Amino acid sequence: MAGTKVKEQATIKVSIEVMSWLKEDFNHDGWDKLVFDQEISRNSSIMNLLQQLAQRYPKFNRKAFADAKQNLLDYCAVVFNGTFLSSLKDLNTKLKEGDTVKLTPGFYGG
Amino acid sequence: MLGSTGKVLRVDLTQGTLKDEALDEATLHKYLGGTGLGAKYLMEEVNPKLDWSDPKNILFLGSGVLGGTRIPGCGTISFVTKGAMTNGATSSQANGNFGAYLKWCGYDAIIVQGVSPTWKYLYLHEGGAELRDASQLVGKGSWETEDAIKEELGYKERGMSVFSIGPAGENMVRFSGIFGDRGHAAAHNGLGAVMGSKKLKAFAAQRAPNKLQFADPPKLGELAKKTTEGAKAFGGGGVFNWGTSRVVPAAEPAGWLPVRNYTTDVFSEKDLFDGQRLRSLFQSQNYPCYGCASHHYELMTVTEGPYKGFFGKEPEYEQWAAWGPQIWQKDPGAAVVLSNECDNLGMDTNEAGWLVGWVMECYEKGALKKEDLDGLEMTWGNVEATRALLKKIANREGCGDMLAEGVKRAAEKLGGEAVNWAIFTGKGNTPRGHDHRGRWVEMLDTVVSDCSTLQTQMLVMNKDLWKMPNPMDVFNPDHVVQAEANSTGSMTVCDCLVQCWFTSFCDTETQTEAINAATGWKLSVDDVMKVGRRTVNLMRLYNLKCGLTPDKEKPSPRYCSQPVDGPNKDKPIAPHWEKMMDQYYQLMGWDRKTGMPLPETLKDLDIEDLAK
Repeated sequence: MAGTKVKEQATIKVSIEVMSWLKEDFNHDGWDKLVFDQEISRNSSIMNLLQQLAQRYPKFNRKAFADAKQNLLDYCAVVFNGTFLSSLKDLNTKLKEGDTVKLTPGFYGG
Repeated sequence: MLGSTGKVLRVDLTQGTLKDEALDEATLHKYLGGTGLGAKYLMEEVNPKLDWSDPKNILFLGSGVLGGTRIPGCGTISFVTKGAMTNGATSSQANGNFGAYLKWCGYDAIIVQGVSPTWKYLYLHEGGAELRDASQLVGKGSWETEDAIKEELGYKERGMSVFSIGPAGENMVRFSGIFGDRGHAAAHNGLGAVMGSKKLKAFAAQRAPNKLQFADPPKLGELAKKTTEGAKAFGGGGVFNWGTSRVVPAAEPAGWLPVRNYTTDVFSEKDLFDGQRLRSLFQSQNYPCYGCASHHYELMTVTEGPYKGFFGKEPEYEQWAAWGPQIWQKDPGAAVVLSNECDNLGMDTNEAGWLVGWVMECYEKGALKKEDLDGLEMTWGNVEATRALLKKIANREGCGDMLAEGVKRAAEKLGGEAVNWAIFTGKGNTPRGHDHRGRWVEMLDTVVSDCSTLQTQMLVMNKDLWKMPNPMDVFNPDHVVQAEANSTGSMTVCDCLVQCWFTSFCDTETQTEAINAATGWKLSVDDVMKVGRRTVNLMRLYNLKCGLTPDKEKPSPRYCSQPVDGPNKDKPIAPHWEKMMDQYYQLMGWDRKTGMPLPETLKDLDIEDLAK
């Protein structure tokens, strides 16, 4: 209705894609794509999103957050809206509706 | 001596003689074996002014003090020589069984010198060694050579380990390697060309009874289990369960996959190359290395597509990368074929991939025409043309002769704009099959490396021990330099012990416990870390004498170019390079102008005498 302020939704949806062997930690046993929408409170950060995912997926939680000595980004690389995030502080970025987050296993060696 | 045979076999191919030499405990204590020991012999015995193909160059291969123990990954072997790509120090390792079998045959290491008048292979067995005629093996690939030697000597598949050169090594292709145990490769810096220059076709070692004595076998058993458990858990267990077969779909989203010779970072077909898919779609069987429980290494039969029925090894990640995205080729079955044919011809996949990708880009842009390439149409992803080209290179036939020099020399010879499309380092070290523009530590490590490949591991088991920035920003130049400098030698420790990194993940603390359990020594973790750094600095001293000076420590323009797309397109390394190098030299204790380790660095590492 004209002149009426539309009430903001309390939650937003972001798209998650999980790559390669990291899918196993999201209970997905197959090489096919793992893409899903995740609902999260408005004003949440990428880190909040990862923590929410960790509550839903215990294996991911154990590997990503249980070892205080491990850098989360060594285990799990994060690509946000097509940009590689290299620093933990990047994970404080606030999410908005329709953002895309790709999670891929971190590795080195070559 | 506990943990060691106390012997090195000296092979003089010119004289046709074999001689046992004593290996003393003090030397092993200082170098641990493998790369460290080889670097010491190289420094002491090979005049840096000599060319790599000079008969006086040596080819060293050795195990380490853990070789032949039950610690996983200790069947690996390390080769050291003055290599053909850099004409400087080289260290390259191959997994498999040879390291363990070598020690069971009674030797910690072999030093080959001279040139044989006719082709020979070296046969090691319980109680001795002999040079045998290899004339019937000339022209054969590594798998055929392995089969032929086992048949001639009456050994079953696992009863012998054979490492050989293919036609490329025989023809001294500058980036030829040494291959064995069904496709394991010591491929860096032209080891195969050195072996070919000596007219030595193969090394064959019997699986002799293990008569080695160790200080504390129960402790070694306990540490073997601990190492396996560590490997299962580390990095989410991806390598233990899948080897490197699932890295292509993991690497592409992060911008780590080399695609179309670094002209893009987008490869939409990445999931077709997922090892989980291919291990069920194609026929696959585990073919583990000595003492290893992981699912890293598999043999594979292609079951669909134009190459249905082809049997070989499952490509490693770097082979999938080279023969898939790097040359814009989208059929995994064809990548299996190209990987195995490149191995069997005896060439380093990484260099071959950069070379063929560069040829394809030159062809597309008109810098190389059909008539320059003996009629081959080197369009992107052309599998049959690539197969034909690889054969020409291995045999130095037609256009293959120039390309057999590797991408740096071929590009410099062709000249013009084409030099700017080639991926190489100033020293001649070949990058592995990644897009290092998204992996700055590894680019820095590759460019400065004095062993011609990795000497650092970013992903060490204990980051505090190696003083790694944690948390680390992989695009923060300060972090990158600190990570590289502080962890320098971490990978080299594995290469001195000659333990596969996929089992140890640079767990230096467990490695130290294992060394002490094998030998009865009381080394500290710091002592062991120092062996890695000592070896790196020793090879650096040698390389400086070879003329590999700091001005050569630069990536080629394409190698350090800014990605045009993908997740790292706004992260160019080039503007940071010189400052990073200044800081790196300072942290390493090296003189910025000359590259020389400073006197205090040499003193700390106890190699002052070798610097003279």
